[in-house]
Amino acid sequence: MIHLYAFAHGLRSLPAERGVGGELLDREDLGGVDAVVGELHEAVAADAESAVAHGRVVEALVPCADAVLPVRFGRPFASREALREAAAPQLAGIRERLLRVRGCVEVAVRFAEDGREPLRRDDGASYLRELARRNAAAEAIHAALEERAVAGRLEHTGRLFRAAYLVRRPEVEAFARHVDRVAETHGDAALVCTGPWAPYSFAEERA
Amino acid sequence: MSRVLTSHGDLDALSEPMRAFPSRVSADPETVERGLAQLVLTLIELLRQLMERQALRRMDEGSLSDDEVERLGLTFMKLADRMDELKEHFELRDEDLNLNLGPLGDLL
Repeated sequence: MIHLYAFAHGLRSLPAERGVGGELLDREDLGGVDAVVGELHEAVAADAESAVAHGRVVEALVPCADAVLPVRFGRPFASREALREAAAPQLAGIRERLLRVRGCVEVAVRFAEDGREPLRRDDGASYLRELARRNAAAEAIHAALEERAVAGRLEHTGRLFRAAYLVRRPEVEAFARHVDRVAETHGDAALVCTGPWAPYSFAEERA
Repeated sequence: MSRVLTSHGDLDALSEPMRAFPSRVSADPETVERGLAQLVLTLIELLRQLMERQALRRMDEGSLSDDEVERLGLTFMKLADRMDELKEHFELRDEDLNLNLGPLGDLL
């Protein structure tokens, strides 16, 4: 069985990191794109431990290649041929996305615009207006951060806003300083910025 | 694997429990009720978010009267309260109310 970790372009070497089953990593040339795989003798459990091992491999790959497209932890392929067959119809899209993330990493920013303050609940109108104000403030933070990134994505999760930015590798520290400046102009916002990560948020096709 | 580059403010406000892996509806008879509740609440949350965005957009455009803003606000407030109660009852978190749609990304 073949476990797929990521697609890569400009893969200079394979990391020493072991895979989900303790296996050595290998590459499968798909024609200008490398699939980074591990050969397993039996299926591994779909548990947190395996997911973390999968994630470690992906993160270890980032400095080894010009571009890395992480693949979600999933069921293994029966063989290398099955992997090639499954990847063939998607290769054009994979190449395009590899080009988009080339030389970049993901920086994640999570923020709550008003810290832990609950929404005002005096009446229906103030609730809705407060909701609109918070969303607008989050959009403003996101827009300010996105200015210094190659691309950005914002998603709401209840009262939290989670954003991901594609940032050129040499510019990660400058981006973090920009996050500091933006955070200072939104004094009430609780914010945490982490990275650099493999570009998970930019790995899949989105509408 | 956390690599914090910078942080500001009350970080407890940003804490989220670790996401269970994998996220799926369990067929175990003892937990099937929770799994189904998760699926149903995910769809309700999708509709709630769509309606909320629509209401905010219409409010922004000025196409809602004061009475309508008040009524819609109250409706969303009560719906949010009810959702919180149901999430607590079924021990679900905000991030549990989502579905991965493969190449289309997440539902919410």
